[in-house]
Amino acid sequence: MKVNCDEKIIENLLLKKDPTILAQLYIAYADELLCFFLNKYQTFQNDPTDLISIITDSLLKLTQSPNKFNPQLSALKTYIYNDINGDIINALGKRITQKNSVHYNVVELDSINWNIDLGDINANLDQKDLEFKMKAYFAKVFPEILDQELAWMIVIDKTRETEKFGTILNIEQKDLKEKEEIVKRTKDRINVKLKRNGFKEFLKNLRRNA
Amino acid sequence: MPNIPKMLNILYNKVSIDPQYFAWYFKRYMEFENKKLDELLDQLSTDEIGYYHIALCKAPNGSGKDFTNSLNTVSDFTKINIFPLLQIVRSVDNMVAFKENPDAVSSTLMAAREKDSTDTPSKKNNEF
Repeated sequence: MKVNCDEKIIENLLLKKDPTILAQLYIAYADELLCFFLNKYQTFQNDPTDLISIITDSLLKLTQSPNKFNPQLSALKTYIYNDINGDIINALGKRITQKNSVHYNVVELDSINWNIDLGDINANLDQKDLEFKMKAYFAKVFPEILDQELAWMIVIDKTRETEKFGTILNIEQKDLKEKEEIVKRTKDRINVKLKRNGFKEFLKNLRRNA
Repeated sequence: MPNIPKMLNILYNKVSIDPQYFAWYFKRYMEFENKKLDELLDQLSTDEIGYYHIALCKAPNGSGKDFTNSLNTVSDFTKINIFPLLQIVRSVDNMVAFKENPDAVSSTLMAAREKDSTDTPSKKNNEF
């Protein structure tokens, strides 16, 4: 098997719609992706079937619509990781809704209310461009990827459920009260950091330029 | 036989329902020819992991230059001879066409046979 380990070569093959691309993506990334997400989301460790299904769907989706990947916005690996991560968060969200066991254990939003309405920005800015600018901003403010994801959940997705934060923070095993406290502290920390780094100004600029 | 990773198996099953992929061709071929996986591996001169990797490749479509280029790319990547791959694709395409429209295919075959039988003596005559 002639395997291409160079990410740039794989990117080119993907964009060229090479007939071997799915096999190449599988060989290059499958094991790494599975290990990474099994470590990140321990909820899949007993039975990784759902995680495997999400990863395979993501690889298939990418080969079917390679143009969704824009090499100018991110590296291929980053794109794949973000795509899978988003799908996992959605899947876990659905799981929680289906189970309905934790019915809106909402941690009330902190004293800082961003009151962000992205509607006007969304309307005038290309969705991909907006996403890119937001991600770039979060990456600048938060060196940790986990914090970037949390900021995204708080500000963009407006996630409120403790369970969703619990999954990301890997504190699913803790009891509800403890989870709520950790999530509240985490949200406060993210919000304070955003405030200190002029997030409101950033949004104003974004609106002005939209 | 090596253990096939679960992810590879799941991906294989997903693409085996899509006629764009070799996985679909291999499954149909084994079904039509009543062959077991071992026999197919022999025919392709590969091992099980190699088989699963080819199965994830897209099979060539249609005819002409693209068909040959695509087949060459897969053959080059998987290090599997182009001829067994070509044979499998052609056989399955023919069998599927026959299944979908047996009358059309059988009349084409009859016409071809008739043409062949009328051509043969004249060819022989020309040779003399």
